[in-house]
Amino acid sequence: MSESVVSDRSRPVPWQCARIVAEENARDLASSNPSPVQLLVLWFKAVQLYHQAEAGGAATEEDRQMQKYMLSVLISTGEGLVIQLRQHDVTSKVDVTLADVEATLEELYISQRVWFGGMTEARRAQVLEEVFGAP
Amino acid sequence: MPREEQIEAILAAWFELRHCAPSEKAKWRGQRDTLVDRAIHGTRSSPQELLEALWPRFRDYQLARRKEHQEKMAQILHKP
Repeated sequence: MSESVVSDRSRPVPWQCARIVAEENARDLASSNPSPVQLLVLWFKAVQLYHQAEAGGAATEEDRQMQKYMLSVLISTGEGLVIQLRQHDVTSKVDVTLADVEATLEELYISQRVWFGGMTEARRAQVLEEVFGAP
Repeated sequence: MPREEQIEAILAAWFELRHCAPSEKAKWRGQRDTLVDRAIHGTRSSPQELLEALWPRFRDYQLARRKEHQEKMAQILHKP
């Protein structure tokens, strides 16, 4: 898979735009029986879009709900992909490895924790002080 | 390594992991996790906890990198 799918990599994408693409992907997937390779390519593109939208934050409650929804869909699709790929690994056809898929999936879990988990400011400061010492 | 340099190195590897090509994800995850493991060595914090604790810094870092990228693009576009 080439770098072209991640061009202008740090530019945030509004959640509305991310939603439109996610819905188009979902329609494409529903209208056909996608191969694992097609699913893999679409999933990586959707994750890229998610991270671009995430970089801009979620300003409204609607954005936050869309973010939460996208995360849950991407995580469940990613988990399904990992199960399929462990049985029949087609990653080499798109120039990635199973480890690349797993690393991408793990990042989605990290996003879920940091956005919707519950680390308090006090605990955050405690961890940073324990690890790096006082600022 | 001084505190800020250590944090900056983790944030840089994390940024690459988030925004690199799919074929480089495992490589950057390995680099970030090595830096995180080194940082938490001898403490009671887990890698996940350190990443959660660094998250606000990482968000700022992403925005700064984005701004830097936009400025570079503007310079290129406005070059006579």
